[in-house]
Amino acid sequence: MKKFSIIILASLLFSSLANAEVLLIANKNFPEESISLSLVSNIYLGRAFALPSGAKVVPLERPKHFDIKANFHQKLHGKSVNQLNSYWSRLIFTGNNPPPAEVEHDEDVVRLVQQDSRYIGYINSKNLDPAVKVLLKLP
Amino acid sequence: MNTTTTYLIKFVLTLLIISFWSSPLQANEITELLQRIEQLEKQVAKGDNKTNAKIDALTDELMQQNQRLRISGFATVSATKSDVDFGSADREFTEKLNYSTDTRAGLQADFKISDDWSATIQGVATAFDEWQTEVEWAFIKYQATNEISFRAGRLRLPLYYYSESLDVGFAYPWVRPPVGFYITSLADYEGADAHYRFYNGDFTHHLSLFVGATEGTFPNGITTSIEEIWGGNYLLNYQNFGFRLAFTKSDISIDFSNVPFLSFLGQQDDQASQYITGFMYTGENLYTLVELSYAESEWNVVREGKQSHATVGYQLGRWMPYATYSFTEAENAHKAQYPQIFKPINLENNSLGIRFDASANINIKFQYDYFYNLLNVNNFQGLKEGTEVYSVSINGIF
Repeated sequence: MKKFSIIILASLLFSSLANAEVLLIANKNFPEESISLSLVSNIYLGRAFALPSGAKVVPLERPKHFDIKANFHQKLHGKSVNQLNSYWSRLIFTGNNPPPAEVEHDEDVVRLVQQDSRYIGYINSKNLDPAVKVLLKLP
Repeated sequence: MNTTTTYLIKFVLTLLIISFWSSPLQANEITELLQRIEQLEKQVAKGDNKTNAKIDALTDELMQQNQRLRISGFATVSATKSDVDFGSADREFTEKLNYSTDTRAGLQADFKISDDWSATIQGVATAFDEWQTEVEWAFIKYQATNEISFRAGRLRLPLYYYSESLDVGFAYPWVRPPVGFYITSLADYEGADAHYRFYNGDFTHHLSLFVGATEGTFPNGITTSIEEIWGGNYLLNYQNFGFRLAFTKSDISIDFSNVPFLSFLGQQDDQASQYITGFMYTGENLYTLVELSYAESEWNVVREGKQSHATVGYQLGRWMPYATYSFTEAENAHKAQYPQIFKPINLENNSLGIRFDASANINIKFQYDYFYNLLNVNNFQGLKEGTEVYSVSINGIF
């Protein structure tokens, strides 16, 4: 019985991890309180570089082998990391724009966003820090 | 978080002290505890410094990612087998298994000089060219604002959607861009371009203008020099939809003096225009690209004609089967000054293939090609009606 409840607990824990939301975060001083899904998509595809007000936005990307990257881009615009890489390779090798800088850990994304109000980044909801602002939830 | 921890530690220790106070406690024990508090406080302070150092290091790393010399590369290894030997200006197909048709590698260095200025150079070596490295891109870029940038140097002609990334097998769905459509003999030019990018609502726009000059020699010995070429591009994106318009105008001079039976023509000049439109949809599973091109000329030495291709692919897990139809046609030259050099042209090509995503930056493609309704296909010497080609390629980027 004890074993059984441990299994239930563990599976509950895992399912809650698997269902963790991806949050798009920004500095407390970021000029907007929320941001549209399509604008975020365009920013992460290197098609838009600023908010409607003209304020510059710099996206922070995550390394390709991180699950959260696949998760984020799937939810954002239905693209796999492979499709995304092939899309970016066309831009990189035609001298168009360099891809967004990559940041390894959720905590580092939080820290960088705290440092610079132009940055936006995405993290797992379980690593949310009250010092930053949530612009978008991707369930 | 750190100040909270400090307070928490102090609070807990104070509680401890108070609880110990109630029991007989020796003076030296209290001193010990106070010393311990001091130690812990120091440790927390150290932690703060560490955090600050970590942020600095992260910012540095990010700056480096943006500032430093960025090296990236791509490569394709391929094997092809055709039922006849034929070739174009930059590819060769043989009855024997051929490892050189699409095999190539490229290396790119991007150097950020300042916030606004950057330099890029890309060298590409192809097995077909016996691994001679060609500089395909070499330019200086000035980012005037978020929206506006200028480039000058050696650039690629922005004719079709994949014209600027012809060598990057990882970027497009096929083993190679449809050969009748993406004529790749003249791909570079020396010149400058200007880009303007903006968006309104969900629509993103990318406008560009370019001007330059280029020259090249075709396998049949014809040397083409484009003394002036200029044109424009407009790319509109709405969610998964893309729409593209492009045009070019060029002053062309063609030298026939090394061409058997045509050397009497010597050097001839012409003016040509090309109008291109493209439509694409890149969804979660569905991939579609349709491009149409129409060329106009004075009919002196450049022919008028049209060409098109349509590609549909569907992603199923890590596999994407795709099919492509392309055609090239040029009518008989009624107005031509030298009608004998303008025989009507026709070429149609069906491709069927499948792409396998081996990893996030490597894919493998298998493709079958069928060439038919051929008429005077001088650009593909040796190509015969009903030619079939089997290809496999491994493509990677880093």
